[in-house]
Amino acid sequence: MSWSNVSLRLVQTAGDDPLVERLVRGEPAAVGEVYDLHHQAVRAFATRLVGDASSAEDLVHEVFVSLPKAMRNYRGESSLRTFLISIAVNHARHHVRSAVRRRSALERMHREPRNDSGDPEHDARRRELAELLSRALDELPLDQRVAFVLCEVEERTSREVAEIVGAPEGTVRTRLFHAKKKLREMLQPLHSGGSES
Amino acid sequence: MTDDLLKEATRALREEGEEPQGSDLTRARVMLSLHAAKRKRRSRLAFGVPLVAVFVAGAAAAQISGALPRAVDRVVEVFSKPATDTSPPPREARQPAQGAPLVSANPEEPDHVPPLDEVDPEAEPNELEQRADVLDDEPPPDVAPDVAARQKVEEPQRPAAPAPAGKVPGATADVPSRATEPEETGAAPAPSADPAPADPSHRRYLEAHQAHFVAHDYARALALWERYLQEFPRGRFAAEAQYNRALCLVRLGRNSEAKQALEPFANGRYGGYRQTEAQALIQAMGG
Repeated sequence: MSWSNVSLRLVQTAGDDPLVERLVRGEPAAVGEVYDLHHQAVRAFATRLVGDASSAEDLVHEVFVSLPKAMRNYRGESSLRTFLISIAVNHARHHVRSAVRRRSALERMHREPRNDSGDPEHDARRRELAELLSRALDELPLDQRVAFVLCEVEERTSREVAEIVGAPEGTVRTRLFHAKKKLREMLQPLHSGGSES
Repeated sequence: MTDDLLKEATRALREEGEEPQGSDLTRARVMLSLHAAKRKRRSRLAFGVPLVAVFVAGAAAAQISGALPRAVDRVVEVFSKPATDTSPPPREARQPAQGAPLVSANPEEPDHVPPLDEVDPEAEPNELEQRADVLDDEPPPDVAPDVAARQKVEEPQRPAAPAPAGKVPGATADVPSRATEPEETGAAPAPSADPAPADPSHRRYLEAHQAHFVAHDYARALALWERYLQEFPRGRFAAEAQYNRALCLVRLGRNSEAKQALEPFANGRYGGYRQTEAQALIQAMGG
């Protein structure tokens, strides 16, 4: 099938959404508009998934740069935001690895805590827990990590997650089950150590 | 308790993701990357399209002027020549191979025609006959494959018939024709159903070729070659038609005209094209 046919079919399935049509045509301005509409959702997911702001920004950048090319596979069956999240999932592997490396380096350098809310104690506790969970997530396989972040952290339905990752709902639930089991096992000693101290 | 901790950590991670971060900077990076990619695509087109156009136009011009087949022949010749080969060039080695493809000439075949100065002067007419046989049995390299293939099909086992008496002075019947060894060429048989060529010059060439190499009616072939050259003096096969016309003159015993027709080839007016063969034929005719 030729590219023109693919594009035509995409435009037809995408309905009368002019933004989608412009994306299919590869207009940079359309990508800018999509960025303005959806960057927060994509960034939030990227940050939660990789656990590192800098790597998350790189992932966000990659998602939107690859969007015109990825639009060839857009069937119009899901929302554009869901489609963007699925692109992020597909590009996450490399960024998760770089985030793990960065986190290790920061740990060695004893990063200074940030104080950016009215309650420094609460912020510190929250950041500590988030980092704890991010480190535990580093130990999981990527598909389990994605399932946990999407289902538990982002509170998406298993159907939606199945759509994003392109796997059956049952598989998503199994991945989530194993992810939670492993995370509990990893957090148990930390919790015991924390209550002893 | 671990469940509570997991839930608390999950909530913490959720809140982490909600913090606004450097969106403007990333947006600028995204737009910069997209514009750079677009510029790259445009510059690739700006350079690539003219290059392709020049190449296509050059190839078309060469095709029209008839230089393309010769150039392709040269290239094939250069690449098919072994680096350490001290034997005669592939064109000579291919001479007796009827319908053999240019790149499939077997260097081990005993098909090399010895130079005429190594031959007994008394046997000269024989040699001339052999030369004529050898050279006119070879399908011209400029001919499209279907022409050569058709000839191959139409005379797969041509008997070792002697050249018609009187056509070449001193011709003898016991000179074996190289066309009696078609299997040695290893050429694959061509399909029997070959549609007539649409190109009029190609059709004219085919008619002359049939008269010359299939019917062996040299007088008619001479007329047809001359008609081809008259109608298509700058045709794709003009050089080969000139050479074949000379061969017909040799066959008809019109030696002075034949020499005159072969001289441009022998003098290298067509580069190395048929030069060796033309020189050998002129020498054999006593030139």
